[in-house]
Amino acid sequence: MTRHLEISAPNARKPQKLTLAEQAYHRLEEMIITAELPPNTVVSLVTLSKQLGIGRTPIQEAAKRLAADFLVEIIPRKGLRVRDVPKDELEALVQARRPLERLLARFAARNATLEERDLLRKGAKELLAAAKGGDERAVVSADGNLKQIALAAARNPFLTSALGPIFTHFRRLYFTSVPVPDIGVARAFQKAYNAIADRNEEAAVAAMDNVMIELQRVMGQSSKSAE
Amino acid sequence: MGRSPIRDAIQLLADNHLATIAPYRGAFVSHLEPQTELLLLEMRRELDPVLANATAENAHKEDCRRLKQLGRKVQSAIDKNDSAAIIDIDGELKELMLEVCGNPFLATSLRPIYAVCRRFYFNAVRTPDRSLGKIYLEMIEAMAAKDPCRSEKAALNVVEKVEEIARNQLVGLK
Repeated sequence: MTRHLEISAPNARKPQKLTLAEQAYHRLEEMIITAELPPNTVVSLVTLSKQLGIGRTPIQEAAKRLAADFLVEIIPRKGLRVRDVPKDELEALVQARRPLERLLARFAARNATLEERDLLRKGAKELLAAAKGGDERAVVSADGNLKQIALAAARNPFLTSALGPIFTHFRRLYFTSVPVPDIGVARAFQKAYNAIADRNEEAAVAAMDNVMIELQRVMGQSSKSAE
Repeated sequence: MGRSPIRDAIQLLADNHLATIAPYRGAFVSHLEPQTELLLLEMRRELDPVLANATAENAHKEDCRRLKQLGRKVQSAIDKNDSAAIIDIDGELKELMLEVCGNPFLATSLRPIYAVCRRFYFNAVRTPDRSLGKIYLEMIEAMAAKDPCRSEKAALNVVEKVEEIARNQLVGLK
């Protein structure tokens, strides 16, 4: 395989097939969010390579990215360790996520295509239905799906790389601490995604602020009941 | 140099949006439209005040001392019209804020944005801007005084001023 550098080629934006390293990253990320790989698990890259049926090199690249996103620690010659959730993580996540979600709402409302706007409306309806049905797995999947559509619609690579790890950490925290889907949160999300679909920037930003308030309400309750 | 360190370096550049990786082909040096700067400043409008607030909130004695020291360096660089010094001090200040704020998520979000903004700003501006310098100093002082509210406002003023400078340059380009 030859690799070469091309200087100053145009920055084409076309959909690309996921590389093996990206596939490995997404699989491992999902395993961490759903606590299939719980905090403090130590696992070797060879084991992961066998389990996922993906070669060592892409697994290694995925591990490096997960480490950069603070999800794992790399232990030389041993593999990786899933990082524990620090006590003050929720506070830090909310502080960083609030302004970034406002930006996501704004840019997505500004740039969403007709197709993306349809997908957001449809996805938001599915999210609410899944929450009403108490189907946690469907909520996890609809929520992840909507985030991907919104990020694509925003057409801002800086926002995508900033929010990617924040969403992952937040989702891990949320879905492990809030066991029953919350209808209030799903409704707030639907309002925000619909405002994006309507291409109403200001309404989308305000609705997204409200989503953050709802999320904090639910997670505040769960940490109180845990005490 | 071997391939592995080069691959790591390219990944880092890509993380900062200075290069674009084309799977199985190699990498491109990212081409940045002049409008990208305005887009980034629109993002910084939301993010910089949060960073300044968190920095003021979490600054320890030693951090306040370093902030004051950076403030004095800014003042002297402006007095001497020394742009090269400003580039260094600005980099140092941003790194200090990203560290002191105590929020790794905010830091990793902002680092690439600052990398590209600095590339834009210092490519275009050759002499220190005095009115920007004044509000920039106010931001540093507010953080050193551990006043989150004042820091937040000052940070927004700084971004707005940089935005104004960038807009004027864009008009100049046309």
